[in-house]
Amino acid sequence: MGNNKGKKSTILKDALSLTIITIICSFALAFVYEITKDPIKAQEDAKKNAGYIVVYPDAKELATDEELVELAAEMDLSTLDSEFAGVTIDDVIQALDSDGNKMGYIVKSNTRGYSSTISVATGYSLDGVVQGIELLSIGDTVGYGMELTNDEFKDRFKGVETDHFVLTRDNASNDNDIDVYSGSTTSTSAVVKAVNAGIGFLIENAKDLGGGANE
Amino acid sequence: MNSDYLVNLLIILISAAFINNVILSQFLGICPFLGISNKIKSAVGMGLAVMFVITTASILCSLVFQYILDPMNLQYLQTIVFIIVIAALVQLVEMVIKKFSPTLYDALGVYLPLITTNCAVLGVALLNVDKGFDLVESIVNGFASALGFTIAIVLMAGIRERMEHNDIPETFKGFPITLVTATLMAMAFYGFAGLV
Amino acid sequence: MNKYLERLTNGLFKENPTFVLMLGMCPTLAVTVSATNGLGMGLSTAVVLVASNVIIAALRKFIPNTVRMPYFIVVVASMVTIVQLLLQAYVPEVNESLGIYIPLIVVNCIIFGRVEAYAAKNKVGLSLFDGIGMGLGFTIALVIIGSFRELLGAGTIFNYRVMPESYEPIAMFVKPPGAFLVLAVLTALQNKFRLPSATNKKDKVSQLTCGGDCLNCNDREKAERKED
Repeated sequence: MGNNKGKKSTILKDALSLTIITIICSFALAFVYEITKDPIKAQEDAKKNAGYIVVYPDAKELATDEELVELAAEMDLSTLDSEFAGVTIDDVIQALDSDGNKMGYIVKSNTRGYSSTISVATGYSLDGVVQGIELLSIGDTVGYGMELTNDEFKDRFKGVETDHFVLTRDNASNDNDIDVYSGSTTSTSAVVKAVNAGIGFLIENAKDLGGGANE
Repeated sequence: MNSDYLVNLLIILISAAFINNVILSQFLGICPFLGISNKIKSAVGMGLAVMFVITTASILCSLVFQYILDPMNLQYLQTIVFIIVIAALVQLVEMVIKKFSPTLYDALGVYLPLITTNCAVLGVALLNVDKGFDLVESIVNGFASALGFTIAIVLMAGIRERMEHNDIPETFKGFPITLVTATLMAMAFYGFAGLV
Repeated sequence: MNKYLERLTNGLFKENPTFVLMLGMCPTLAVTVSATNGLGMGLSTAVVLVASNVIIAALRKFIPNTVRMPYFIVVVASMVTIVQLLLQAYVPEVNESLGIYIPLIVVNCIIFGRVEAYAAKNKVGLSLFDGIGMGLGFTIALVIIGSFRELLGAGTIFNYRVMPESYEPIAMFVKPPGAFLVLAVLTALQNKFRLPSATNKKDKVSQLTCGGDCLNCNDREKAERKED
């Protein structure tokens, strides 16, 4: 490359012109970024709340439970059950009715799926009934685990009164049995693990669910 | 550094090299995979060059992101910064090798310029950030992805060398049979899914 | 005016980037799990291509020959980032389902290939139409491949059920091996019917997808092409 001996000014000129185009491009980018910043933020928030409200359709208002979020950040979930190793919880939300009374919780748990992190939101009422689950993100490799985003799979969890789900193969007999989705074994078990860890965390730590290790 | 962290690194290594093989499951670096896989020798050369560049690029991009872009809230510039880092890196590597190790340059030199636009390099750098890997995890992921790339391209070259003497239906000669081979390889690698 | 039309049809048919030139295979294989994804990817790429083509064509007299590659990289990468930001803000679903393949448009051979081979040497208007033609050609190709895979792999096209309920989807087609297989069959058909394509020039197997060398792709092509 750069075969310009004898012309000293060329290299300066080249560098200068490259600098100019870079600066122009940076300005253009900064400009677009400023314009799109707010819509992007709004989209992300809307998506987050939309995901949450789906798992707790009865809730009228959502409020982040700072105390539990903090607790979740510090806690190693594998101390609850070795099965939960690798699961993290990064959001706990109180689901409130129209009068502002707490009806239950929404917990967002993440675990490793087939290709990357799977995030699941689980709605869990104070009387121990799963209100619904939603896959908030299911990895970056297009196509993997996509079967799990259909309603049939998610509805398996809905309305079940349990403290954990069991993974089964084509022979789901109890309410809390979840059949493995053919072709998405890893993803199915990751989702079940994340849901179980979320529920386990709530039962252990939320006072109104009989837990409250911090009392 | 506790044992959990090491296990985590091992998982990253295996999943990047086999389960999420850059070529066969993420489709990054398809061009060289199809373009220069007709001889084992060139496939090995390309693989080694890619390994070196991806690992180095993972380190640099990870550092740039963690210490410059992230603190300054300039995450949106990552694509443009990474591609410039990679392009500069490739140029630099080429010059350094040419100067200090002519033998190595003879072996890898011709493949280096091809790597700038190899989407595996940029893809791995972006994935490192996307998955929130720290520096060590990025290095492991970068190296393992490149290893996966090398494994796939060398295997493909081996198969193609043998196929040269096979009686392939006229219609499938050349590109199509290569793709059929890739199909079967992708299926085989799909079997690694249960590993982790 | 005919020159402009010629550019459009050239990109759509005569030199269709996917079917004829066999460029940009990574996104072609990766995102075509559904027709919708193909459309999203195709249009995003088309926008980047058109914008880059126009800018480079406009600046072509000012770009020093020695540093043209970094120049192209800066311009193309900026366009890609702008498209990505716009997608995130206004059509987040597309951005989400395409993931890292959006920023990877930067290294799509089609972009550098066209910018270097066409826009750097031609007028803005022609480059604009060249970009539109190539971009649409790419989009159409991705939609066709995406529809095919979605139809076999999920029984739907653009999420509308096409196959009867009794059809058991062949999940493999929306998984990685299916991508290779569909393309294998497609290129085999091109061979069979001797359609113009980079794949059935017999003695040039090693030059497939530019021999992996996007940046210098056109140097090889130039030798083959007589016109222009």
